[in-house]
Amino acid sequence: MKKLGLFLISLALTLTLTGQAVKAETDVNIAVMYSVGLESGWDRIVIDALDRLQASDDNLNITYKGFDAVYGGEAGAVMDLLAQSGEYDIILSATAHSDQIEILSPRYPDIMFVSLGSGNFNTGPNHYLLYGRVHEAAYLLGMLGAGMSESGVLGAVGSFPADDINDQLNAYRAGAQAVNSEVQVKISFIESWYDPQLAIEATYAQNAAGADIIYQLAGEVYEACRDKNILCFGLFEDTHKLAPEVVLSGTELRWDPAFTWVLDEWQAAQESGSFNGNTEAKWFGMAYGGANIFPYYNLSDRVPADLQEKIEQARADILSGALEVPLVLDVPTSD
Amino acid sequence: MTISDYRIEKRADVGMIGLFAQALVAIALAFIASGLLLTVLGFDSVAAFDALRKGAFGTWRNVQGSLVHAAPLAFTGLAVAVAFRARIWSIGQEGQLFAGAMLAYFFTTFLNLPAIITVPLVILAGALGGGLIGGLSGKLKTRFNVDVIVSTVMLNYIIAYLLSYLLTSRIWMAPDEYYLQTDRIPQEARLPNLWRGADLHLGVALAVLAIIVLHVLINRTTFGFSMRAFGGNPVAARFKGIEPRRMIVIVLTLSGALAGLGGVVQSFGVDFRLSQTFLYGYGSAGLIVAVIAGLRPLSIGLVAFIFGALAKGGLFMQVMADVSSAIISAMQAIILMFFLVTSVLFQYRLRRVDRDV
Amino acid sequence: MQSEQHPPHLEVRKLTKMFGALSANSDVSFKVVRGEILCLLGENGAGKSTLSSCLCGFYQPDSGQIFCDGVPVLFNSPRDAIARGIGMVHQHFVLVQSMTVIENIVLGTHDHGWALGLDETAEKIRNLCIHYSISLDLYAKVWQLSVGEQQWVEIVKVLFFGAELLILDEPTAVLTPRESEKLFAILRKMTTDHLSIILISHKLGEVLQSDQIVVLRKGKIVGNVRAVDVTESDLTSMMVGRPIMLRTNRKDITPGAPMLQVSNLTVLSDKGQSAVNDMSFTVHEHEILGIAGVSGNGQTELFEALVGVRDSEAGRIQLSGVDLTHQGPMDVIANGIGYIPDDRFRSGLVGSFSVEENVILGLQKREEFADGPILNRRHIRDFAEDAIDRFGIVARSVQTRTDTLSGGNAQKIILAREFWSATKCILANQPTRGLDVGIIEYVHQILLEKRCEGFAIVLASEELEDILALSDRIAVIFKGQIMGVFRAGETNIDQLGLLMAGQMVENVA
Repeated sequence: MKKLGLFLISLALTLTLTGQAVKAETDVNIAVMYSVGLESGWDRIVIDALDRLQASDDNLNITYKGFDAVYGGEAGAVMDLLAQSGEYDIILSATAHSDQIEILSPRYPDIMFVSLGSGNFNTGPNHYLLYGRVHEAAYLLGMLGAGMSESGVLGAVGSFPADDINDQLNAYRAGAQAVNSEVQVKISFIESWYDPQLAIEATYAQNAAGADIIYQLAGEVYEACRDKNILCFGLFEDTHKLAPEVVLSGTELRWDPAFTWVLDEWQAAQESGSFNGNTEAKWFGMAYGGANIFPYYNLSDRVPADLQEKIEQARADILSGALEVPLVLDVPTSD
Repeated sequence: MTISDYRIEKRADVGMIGLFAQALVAIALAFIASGLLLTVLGFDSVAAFDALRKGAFGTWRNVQGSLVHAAPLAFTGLAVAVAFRARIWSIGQEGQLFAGAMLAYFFTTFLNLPAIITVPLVILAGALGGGLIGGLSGKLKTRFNVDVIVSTVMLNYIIAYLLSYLLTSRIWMAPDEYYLQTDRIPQEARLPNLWRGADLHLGVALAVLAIIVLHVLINRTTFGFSMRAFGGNPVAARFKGIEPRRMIVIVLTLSGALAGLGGVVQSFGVDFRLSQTFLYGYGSAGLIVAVIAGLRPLSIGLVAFIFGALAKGGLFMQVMADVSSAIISAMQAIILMFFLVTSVLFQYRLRRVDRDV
Repeated sequence: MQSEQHPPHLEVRKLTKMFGALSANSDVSFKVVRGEILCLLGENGAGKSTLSSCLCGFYQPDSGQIFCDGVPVLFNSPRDAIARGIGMVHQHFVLVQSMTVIENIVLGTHDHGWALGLDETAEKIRNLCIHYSISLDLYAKVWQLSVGEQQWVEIVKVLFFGAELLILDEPTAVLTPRESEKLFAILRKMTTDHLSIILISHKLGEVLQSDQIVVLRKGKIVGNVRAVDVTESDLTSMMVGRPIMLRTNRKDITPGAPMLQVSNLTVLSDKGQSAVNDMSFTVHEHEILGIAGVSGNGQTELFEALVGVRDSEAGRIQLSGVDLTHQGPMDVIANGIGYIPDDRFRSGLVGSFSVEENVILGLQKREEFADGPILNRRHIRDFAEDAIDRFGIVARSVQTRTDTLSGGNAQKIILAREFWSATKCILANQPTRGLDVGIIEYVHQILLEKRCEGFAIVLASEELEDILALSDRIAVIFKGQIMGVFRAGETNIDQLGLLMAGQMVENVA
């Protein structure tokens, strides 16, 4: 054992990583730590945003690579290796990895760490926190749902009562009430980040309770919508193609303005030599192009023209600042 | 006329050198086989293994990482060895590891003491938690004659579900937490790093200590003697004053305590939270480590380190050579497979036989 | 005797088998004539077992040849030997305890086995049993059978496989005198059916019932004689290399104070029936109490109760006034009782342990062998080396695994251990079972020495000669009760034999 140890130490000394090639300051390479993997919409919209920025940003030469979802100590080890490799300027985690970043951010002060979504906390100047708030879009969906519903009962199936789910549900109800003050909103949480079977059951239950339009926040679960022939809303990415006959619209989360801000921060740090990470998670709403609702596509003719107009007006008001959708984080109750 | 031919016959004893050679052959064959697997899957196996080597041993920090990965494996491996040397087939290391981490965490939820007191308490609680569960299996055997395999497997499930309950019922989960994990373990309860800036934490030192203590305990003490006698022949042991009930309970308690320490080392040294996913799999990995090491504590240290290095290097391989982490699990299985094959082969030898005709 | 046109049934020419540097057999040559019984005679470690293992394909000889009916054969496994009609009945039976007799017999018959159907097989086996007058319940589970009956299963199994040459390793070791007689009658019947027998034995009376005797010493043949041409003492001198006195001279010593007192002891068997029934006896200092009886009459349970591994239902056990009733083995050992078990590899030794570990088994916490919780390896080694010297244990080193040793050497480890730890009383249950003459003489001598030193000794044996030669008093045990106690010299084999069969006799000493 002792000899082996000495051998390993000498091996370690001779193998210390060789110097990296000189890089231009406009080259930025991003490592993306998935929360689930590319089968999850949450991870896909991160990549979609990066692809768009890659194509549109003339200032920066953006490259990125995604990594299998890992948690706990293993996530720490993977991010440590990524940082150690010297190949990545930014390590972007799509999930709650702050426990591990807490150890790594002081160890790698030249690398920018970015955490997306709830469950994160700032761990140092080179750690940036972003939130994806789509409550404004959820407000518009609430209006749309209330205007379309025949029963006057809307449904919403959530994962956990996390604050970036609660904000949407509260706004969804507020929007619905703005159209129909009598409207009821059924809300259920499946208490899992990903469990299609539970989500399907919850959808059936809400439909049985009278809901004829259901907001799916716990995954793309459209089988029950198809089966019961009810309209549904999607979350974060455009899922219309998955079930064109039932997916009316959905909240769109566009990371583009948030990522642009982060990249600006990164570039600024390259010049100033110091990062300036945020302690309060930053989010970019509709006015910044960070959120929207998806088009109705072939279902457009089922939406009454006056309702469409009403929603357009609300959207314009949000963009102009005339309408401020309140950000309510309390756990919503089901009607 | 004399004819020579060759015959395969069983060796009387393989011996330590034989075992070491066997391990080397097994690992070499496993690497060849995994290399073929990588090549078939379209990867550059040379680059992949280079990444593996760098990840495991490339820098002092990576060596530390390999050691940190190895520590819980060493504990569960030792837990298996203690039980199996006494021929008590406990496969409850997973549940005991959970129980150790859980009891230790339970103390941190209400203790508010400085680290100098909390850390030793946490370590003791880990040993106690695992030990109690192991001892329970022992009592079930001696009191109600419940098969040890059955009770340990059942307890594995019960403990895992208990953690699941404590989390989903939010007894151990903060109201604003949405991942199935406990709150963060407070700073003063965490196993401290061995020196400033080190990745090696107290748990790694504990693992090394445990390996040495177990080596001495099994081979050099009267208790180890009794335990091995019991494992070798429980009837004769009983005739010579080694009380089987007592031995079963003590051995399973000790085995459980070691597994429980493994849980503390991982949760309080690395993860700083408890979660099913963080702690999952150390029991079965420990079983593999112990079997490959021939249930010998010092060898367990070495094999655990090899597995730790594989895990650490495997992550690096995944990161740098784009090789899926599943390949690492496959490689561990391949090593085990070759080890089992070679252990059979090494029991035989080829002999030249001259015969008069 | 042997006609020129018929080659011998089996011929061994210049067979040599080495284990490392140790030669177990060197240049062994002999012939077995069809229809005869050949006896392999020799002390422990003389190479009898190795030789028979080579003949039945379990080992492969390093050099030399084996001919079957004049044809050279090469056995790579016992199956090859069985195909050639050679079957072995081992000393340690390899039966599956939880299976029935017939299942055990069929098990391993790959060729016709299960396909034959159990009924048809049963018919075939039953015919075999009838032909040789073997009474065997084919549907009994093996664990229900006595050791003697299990041996019949092994023999029938080998016959069922179609063996024409049977190798029997110490077959009478587990039989009562009457059963042994029966065995020889059956073996004789087999030879008239043109089967041949190789018998491994050390009991001179039996050996002389065979036709040809091959005497082995240290792996070499030292004698190859016709049984009619020799006497018992010829054979012992050949075997041991010196003349031997089996009838040991027992000094007359007046027994001292009562040492071991057993009163109204009742002990249950594993099945919950009373195996020892209201038994009382006393053994004094300087006294050997012989317990005569067919095995299975409560001896095992009695000894287990005395050594503390089996709790008694009623009665008391006292050792020079100290009450040992309900005490565990640790206390029994600590009070100076030593135990020599009948089944050494089961209850006396740990097979996977080295000689030095077994020689202190149970004594590991004594201050001679441990400093507190740490074993004193130096002292253990010295003690083991001394034991090897004093008891003449043949082992390569003190670290040799015990399960590689012969029965006699294994027994010597137990003797070394028990005689060291015992200070007052020795319990010896069949201490010479399965051992050969040289060792038996040694065991007897050492028991008599201990008697002189003042030990109280309880000796159970199925060998009435042993009991008569050694004991001061003899108790006959039958169905858990003592049928009678006699002073040595006031009884004889016939009287004891009757009592062992359960017949009451009036004059009780």
